Amino acid sequence: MLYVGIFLTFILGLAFVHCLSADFSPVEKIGLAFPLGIGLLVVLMLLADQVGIPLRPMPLLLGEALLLTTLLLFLYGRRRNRPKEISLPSLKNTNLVWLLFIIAVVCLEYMNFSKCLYFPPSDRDSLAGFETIGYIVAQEHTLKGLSIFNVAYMPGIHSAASYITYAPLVQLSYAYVYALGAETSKIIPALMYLFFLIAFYAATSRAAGKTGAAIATFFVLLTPEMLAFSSLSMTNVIHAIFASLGVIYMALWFREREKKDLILCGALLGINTLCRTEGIVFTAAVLLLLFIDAFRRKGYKGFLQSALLALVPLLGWTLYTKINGLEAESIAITHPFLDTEKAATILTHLWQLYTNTTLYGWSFAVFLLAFLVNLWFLIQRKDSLSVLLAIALSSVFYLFIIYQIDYKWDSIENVLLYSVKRFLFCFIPMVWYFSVSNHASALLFRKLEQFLRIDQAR
Amino acid sequence: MKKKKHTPSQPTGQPPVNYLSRIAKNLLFAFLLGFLLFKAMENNAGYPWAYNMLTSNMKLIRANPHLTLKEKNEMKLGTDFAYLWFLKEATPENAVILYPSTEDFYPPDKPSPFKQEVQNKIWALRFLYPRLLVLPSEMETSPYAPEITHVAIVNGRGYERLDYPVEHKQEHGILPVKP
Repeated sequence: MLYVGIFLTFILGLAFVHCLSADFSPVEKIGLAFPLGIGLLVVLMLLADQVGIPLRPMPLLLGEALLLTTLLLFLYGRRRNRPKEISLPSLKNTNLVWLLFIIAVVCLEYMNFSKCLYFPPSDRDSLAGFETIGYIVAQEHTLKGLSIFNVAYMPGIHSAASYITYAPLVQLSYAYVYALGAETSKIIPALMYLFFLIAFYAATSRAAGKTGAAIATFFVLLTPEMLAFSSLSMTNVIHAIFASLGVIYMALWFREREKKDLILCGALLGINTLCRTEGIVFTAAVLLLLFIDAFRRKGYKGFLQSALLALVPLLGWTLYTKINGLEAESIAITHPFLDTEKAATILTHLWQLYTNTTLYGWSFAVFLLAFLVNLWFLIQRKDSLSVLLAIALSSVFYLFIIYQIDYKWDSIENVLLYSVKRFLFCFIPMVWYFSVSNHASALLFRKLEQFLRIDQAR
Repeated sequence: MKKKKHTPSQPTGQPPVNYLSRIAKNLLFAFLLGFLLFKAMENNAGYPWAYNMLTSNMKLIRANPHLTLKEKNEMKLGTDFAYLWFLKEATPENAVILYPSTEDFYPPDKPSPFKQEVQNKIWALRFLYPRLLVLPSEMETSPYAPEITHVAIVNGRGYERLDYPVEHKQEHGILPVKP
């Protein structure tokens, strides 16, 4: 039943991507199918739980099948809008550099995937949170009425930073596989990362060509700390998948002005806030840029559709927590204040993280280099301005959030050392996307591909 | 006038494609790039660490392909898991366990064999669910306190929570509330 459930989720995501647009490439569709399928599944589970339908295998599978049928009927209704040209993946225009990196990615991901599936969840944060919540949801068939959310049983449940407030995507996706009979929840992080790599490659290749995309995918995969966490059961890498793809599709929208990218960007950012609520910094940054763009072009329809998709999941989740009392003592400082020591601590730790090449490899160094090399095109043509602004704005918003937090459950140093370190995973795919897709790099990769082309004359 | 078709592989006016030289050029370039990248990555502490992590895990997986979930949990979580597994095996699913405190797991006067987060109630529940856990600090307020069926013993601590004397005291164990 587990494999049926996983396959159904994949097909559901595939149908959803196809509904957004039939014009995405087959590799993009495959890469996006599983993450989006999980996003839809979690929304379905929240709705079912709210109306009192138990989260048992049969109602879940039937609900997915029903949603899939609806999407298929929608697709049938617009069957005349076929894709302009079905572009199947081809080995034309390939070169051995591309092949070398693709083989390296496949080998490394094979090892990473095997490691992820082999070892059961063992990290502290999962077992003291998402993993256990998911496991118990599968036994008690509810999230809102969970025994471990009962204050009589868990007296500290409404304390600051309690697990009761964790955004639902990771624990509900774990609950789904446990309900279908999985021994451990590791199939979720394993498949999420695998499909993310495919989606990242496909999206990046649209802007940087396949060689640049293969190199970027290789470095994203081999980013040391992110690679280590990708095979754990924690939320950070799964969150990075949605946040970074959301920003990348925004950049593709600014680049190619195809509405499908705008809508997909909204959907991905919507699911990003269902992984971790601080994902709102990406939603806010992207929506601000999209709004400015819509205002300048005097065309708001696409922006409003994207904003709706980006905000409704978070609003829905907030409503769900309010209705069901899944709340904890606030950790936010809601008034403005000046604490130079706190600001200095945050900035010092962040600088140490950004310059730490052991944790993030060359990601930020290459980003800086690419920024400098492309500076001329940035000034002259505003090249890649949207992705740079999205990275800068979301970083500033995040800085503001960590400054406005009252660290009463843990020290600020610990939060900066562990939570913030992992939050930076969101930026890794974005900086690699920029590094290979900016005008100067894209030009270089185009020349390289022409130089190395095997099957056609130059 | 009929237009002459141009095939991309053989454009007019150009010599036929020399695949052999192109493949040789690709091989040379790929080899050079791979070599330079490999050498450069060796100088970054993170990349070799990441690669070694993957390969050493693969070796472990290949050496132990048929381990059970319990054995894998023991490998990753050590004594903490072994202790919880023991409690699970020794109690029925409807047991209400008086669970040791953090100080019982990590006594100040002697070294503790526990290395993970076994003292954390929700962490422990991942392996003990559906059994209910009550901590010593919750005894006065928990509605489940009167329903306790077992007392968990760790590092020789917890016997004082029983209403009867125990002759052969073990370091770790679980005992029923009523003998």
